[in-house]
Amino acid sequence: MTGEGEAISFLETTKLGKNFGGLWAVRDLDLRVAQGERRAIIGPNGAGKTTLFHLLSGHLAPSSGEIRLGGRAITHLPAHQRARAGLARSFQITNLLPEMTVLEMCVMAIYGRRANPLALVRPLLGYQAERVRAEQLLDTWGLWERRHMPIQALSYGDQRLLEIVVALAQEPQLMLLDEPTAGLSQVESRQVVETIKRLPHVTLLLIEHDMQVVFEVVDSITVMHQGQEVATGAPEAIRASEAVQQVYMGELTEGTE
Amino acid sequence: MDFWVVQLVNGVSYGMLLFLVAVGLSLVLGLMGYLNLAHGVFVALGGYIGLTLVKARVDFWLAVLGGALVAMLVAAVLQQVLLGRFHSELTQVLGTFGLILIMMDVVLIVWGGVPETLRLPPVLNTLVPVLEARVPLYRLVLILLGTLVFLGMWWFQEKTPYGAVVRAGLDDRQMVEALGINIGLVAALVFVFGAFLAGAAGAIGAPIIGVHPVVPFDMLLLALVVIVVGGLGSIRGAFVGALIVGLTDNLGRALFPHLAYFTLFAPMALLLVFRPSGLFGRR
Amino acid sequence: MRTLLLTLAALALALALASALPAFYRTLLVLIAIWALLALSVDLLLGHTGLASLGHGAFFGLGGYVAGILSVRQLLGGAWVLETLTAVCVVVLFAALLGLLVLRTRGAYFMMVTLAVAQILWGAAQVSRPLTGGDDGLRGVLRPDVPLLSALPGGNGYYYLVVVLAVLVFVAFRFVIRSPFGYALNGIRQSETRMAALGYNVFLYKYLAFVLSAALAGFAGVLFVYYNQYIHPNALGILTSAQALLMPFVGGPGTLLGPALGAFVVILVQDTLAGLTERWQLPMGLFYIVVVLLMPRGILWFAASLLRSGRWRVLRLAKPRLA
Repeated sequence: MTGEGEAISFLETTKLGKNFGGLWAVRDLDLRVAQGERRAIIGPNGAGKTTLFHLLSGHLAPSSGEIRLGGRAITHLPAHQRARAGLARSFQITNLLPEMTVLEMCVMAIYGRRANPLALVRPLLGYQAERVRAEQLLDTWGLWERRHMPIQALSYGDQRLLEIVVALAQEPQLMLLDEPTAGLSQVESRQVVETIKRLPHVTLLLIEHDMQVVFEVVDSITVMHQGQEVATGAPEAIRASEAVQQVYMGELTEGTE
Repeated sequence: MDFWVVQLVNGVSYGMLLFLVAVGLSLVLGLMGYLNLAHGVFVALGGYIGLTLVKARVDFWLAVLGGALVAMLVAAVLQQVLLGRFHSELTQVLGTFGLILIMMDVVLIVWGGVPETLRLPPVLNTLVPVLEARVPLYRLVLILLGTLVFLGMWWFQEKTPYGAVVRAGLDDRQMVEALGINIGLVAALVFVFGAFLAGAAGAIGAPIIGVHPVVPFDMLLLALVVIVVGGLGSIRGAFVGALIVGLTDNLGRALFPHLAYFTLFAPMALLLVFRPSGLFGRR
Repeated sequence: MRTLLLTLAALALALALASALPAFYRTLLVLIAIWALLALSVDLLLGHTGLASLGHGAFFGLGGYVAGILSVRQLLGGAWVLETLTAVCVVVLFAALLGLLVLRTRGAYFMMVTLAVAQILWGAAQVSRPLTGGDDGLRGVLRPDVPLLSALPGGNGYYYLVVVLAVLVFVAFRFVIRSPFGYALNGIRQSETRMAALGYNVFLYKYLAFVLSAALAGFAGVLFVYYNQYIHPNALGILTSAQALLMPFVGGPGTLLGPALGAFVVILVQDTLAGLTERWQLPMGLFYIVVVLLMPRGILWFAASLLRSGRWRVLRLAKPRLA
């Protein structure tokens, strides 16, 4: 598995598990991800990948096990506190705020890190620091022209891009991207891949079905099957692994669906 | 000691009435997510029609049946004509509230606003010894009826294929629809049956519930508390919840008459603290 | 600065309007203003946070009864400002405790629980005759004396005070919905999971919105009891709560003026119907049903759609086969 032995993992899960009425969606999962590492989580449908993300981000409470981020135990922290601790995620099914404009949502994402619930007077867009940063972000990632559009008016491809940009806006130390290229055309997928490659130095966990994207972008891969880890290693090792091939039984794809 | 026996019998028999009133509302809410505020109107209709029939010298039990049937009929008409057009929770609530307003005035126009009492056939007033006390046969009949209805419904839901459809619908409506079963029809039948029970409760329970224009509101409140306590979409929940609410409300009124309505709040608050989805609730 | 000027202009306009109206309509305007505040409080939860409350009568009535009882029994020596503050504090305390219980539910359940609470308070008010006057209601509430505004036509300074306060509340509300707090509430309405993932404590925001909404409803209740000089248990129960919920629905939820517009329409309809027949609840019920069926997105949207489709209707009449 990982070669560095007891090197400090930035993200670490120990025997992480989630049980739904008798069915273990995730079971006995030990994950070790180093700081700045880019890890893909792959596996057939139903392997528990998105459940794992929900457990990591705090949207689901674990039935067993522990999670540590940067050495700190976050197992029982609610989702919003994990976000403030530096964890950001995108969702498999686009989960943006449809009635807000692109700019508004980005400002909300930036403000969320230090949100004061009693901020009742100053208008949101009057928070200069946050607003300027949001505008810079949108400019960098190509959404500047659409910044005043309501999100529900954006094309699907732009929405998937915005999911990633919003995660970035939170200045995360750990990013969880859940199938960022899902439903995108070749061209749009390429755009997302380039975006991911341009991401600043941040620890990244990526759920992806498109193996071409995976091989281009990540340092290591964890393969999951029926809630458990099957193998973890460098992309080439995983590709060659017989155990992994058995798991997929031919489901590995070398391009977009 | 006999005070407590009487209170127990009163509380349980009252709980049986509440069960008859609440179970239909609970099932429809669990099946379709449908909150019908006008459910209490069925109770009132049962009471008023029953009263009218009794005054016309119709046999008591036939009068009860009559009240229940009228409530059921009105429910069926409403279902077809109106209720299917309310699509969101908010529209259901506002729309059915509008129905309450209409029905209240109809009741006032037809029967006037004076609270009425329904006279029971004398045999039901005979006192029967229970433990150390003597209670009216009427109360025992209520307990028997409520238990029979509960057992019948439970048997139906657990042991028949039609009941299985209802159970499945309560668990996962979309799946049932995907299997080609018309859950809307099932829900409509449950709705209408629930109205029948509510109307019957209004008629047979008239000596306890009363027959006056405020009945729709009182019964709605009680049904809601029963559902919060017992849980949504569950026959067992409605039964147990109704017994709890019936006993605490009755006991509360007997012991602390000035805190009457707060005795309703207590079980509800307790459940919300410890089990927000109710004792037998599904979520 | 611009806001200050606009506020002053709105105040001037409102006072001018109130002065110019004949006494009967002025009274009606004040009633509408009070209901507009209640509707606004409901809409903070409904249109902005996504929580439909059927229990705001509880806060409205509680505020009204506390202020009313203090006034009738002269417990604070007739100092109406103190009475108001006390009443609002009681409501806030009540909501702070209640919120911890009821905010763990959502959707239809939340509606049910809030309705139950309102009905329980209604029942309690009916039963506590010595305190509240029971079904006869609480009489003899003293209306505040406002010397400054009594110089205006009609001599009833209190009415003008209500108008001023209503305008100020609406201006304040505008700040709230454009603030991060307001955006957070709207975000929660659109997606709770997304807001949590962005670092917002969703429960805390809902709780604060709940308490704030209750405070405003309680304040409206206080204004009401002084206006009416009388309050009945029906102010606490479903009749008030449902009407308060209907108003933002009619006027357009989630907008600044929607609740006020809704209050205007609903009160006008009710007043007209009550003038026509004693059995006005029947046509009022029909009104609820018609509104809900025809205008699920509010009156403005409905009117706009009529205008747009007007042309289509004419076309269809001219060429019937275009259906």
